[in-house]
Amino acid sequence: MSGSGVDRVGVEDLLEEARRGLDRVSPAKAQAAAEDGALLIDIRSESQRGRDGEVPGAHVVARNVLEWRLDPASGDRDPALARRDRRVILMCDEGYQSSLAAATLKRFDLDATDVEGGFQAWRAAGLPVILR
Amino acid sequence: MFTLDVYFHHKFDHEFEGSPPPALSFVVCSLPRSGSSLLCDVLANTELAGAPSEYFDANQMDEFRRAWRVTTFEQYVEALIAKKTSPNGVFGVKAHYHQLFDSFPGGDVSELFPNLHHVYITRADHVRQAVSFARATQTERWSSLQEATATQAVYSAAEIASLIEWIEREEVAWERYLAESRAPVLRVVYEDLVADIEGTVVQVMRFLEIDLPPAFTVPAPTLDRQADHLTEDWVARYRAEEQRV
Repeated sequence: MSGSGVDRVGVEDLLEEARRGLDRVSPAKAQAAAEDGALLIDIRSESQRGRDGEVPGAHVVARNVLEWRLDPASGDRDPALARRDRRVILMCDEGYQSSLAAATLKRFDLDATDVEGGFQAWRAAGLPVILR
Repeated sequence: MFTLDVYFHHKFDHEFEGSPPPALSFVVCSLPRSGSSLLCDVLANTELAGAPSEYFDANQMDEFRRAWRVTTFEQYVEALIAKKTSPNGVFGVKAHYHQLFDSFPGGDVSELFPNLHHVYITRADHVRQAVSFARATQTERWSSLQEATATQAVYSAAEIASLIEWIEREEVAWERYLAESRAPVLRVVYEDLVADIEGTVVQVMRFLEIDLPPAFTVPAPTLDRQADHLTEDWVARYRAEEQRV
C-alpha cells in the first residue's frame, strides 16, 4: 500500500499479469490462425505502418478506439470485428502493448491473444510485409 | 485464405488528372449493407460525380497512402481531393459514421470539403439489412465482385437482433450529425434506389447541382445483387421467430 492508500503496480506487473492470462502465439502461428479465420488486428500507429510496412490480411484498428470497436456490447463496436466466434490476435510493434490490450479484450469475453514480439518478430520471421 | 478482402471497389480507377479544385463536395453518409456501394458505383461511372468510396477506412487509407506515396494525413487528404475530383469540380467520399469521426474530430469536414452536401442513404428494411450484414461479416464477402469463400454462414437470431440494434444506433448517430451540420441533405432509401436506379441517381446528381449533358444516360451498375435464397430463408425465419416472441 502506498502512502496515498492506493495499491501501486508498475508496468512490468501489469504486463506479467496480462500475459498470465494469454495463450500468446508466435508470428507463424498467428499467420496460420488468420488463414484459419482468426482476426489479426494491427494496432501499430500509422507512422509505424508507414515506416516498416503493412501486414497483409491484418485489420487496422487505432489503439485509442480498440476497446470501443471490439467490445461486442459497445454501441460503438465494429460488428465485423467484435465477434466472440472468432479468435482475435493483436499485433503491435514489439508485443508489449498488445499483451495489455489483449488482456483487456479477454475481459469482454473475447478469445483474444497477441503476437509474441509483435511486428518486429513477424518481419524477422520473413512473413509477408507490404512496404510503402 | 489469408487476404483481407476488404471491399475496395473503385480503389484505383476513376483517378483524375488536372481537375480544378472542387466547387462542390459531398459525403455519402452510409451504413453497411445500405446500398451505398451500389449508389457510389453508379455515381463514379458517370464520371461527373467524383469517385466516392470509403477513403477514410483505415485499411483503405494505407493502400492509397502506398499508391500515392504520401505519409501524413494532411498529405493524404490533399492527394485524395486532387485525384478524386472529377473535371467538372465535383468531389465525393462515402463514409460510415465511425470512419468519419475517427478521421475528423467532431466529424466536421466542411472546412476541408467546400460547398459540402450530404447524401444520407438508409435501408427501410432493417431485418434484411441485418441479415445481409450478418452473412457478410461471417463470410467476409462484402461485394459480388469478391470470390465466394468456403465459409458457411450460420443463422443466429441473436446476431441479427444485435445488428438491427446496431443499425438503429448508427442511424441515430447520423441523424444527430446531420441535424448539427448546416450542409444540405438528400435522403435516399435503398429500396427506392434498387426500384429505380436511374431515377435515383439523377435525383442525387441534381441535388449535387451537377449539370447533366443533353445526351446523358445513367450507366449500368457493375455490382450484382448478393441476396439469394439463403437471405430469403433467414429473413423469413427471423420474422417468424420475432412474431412468436
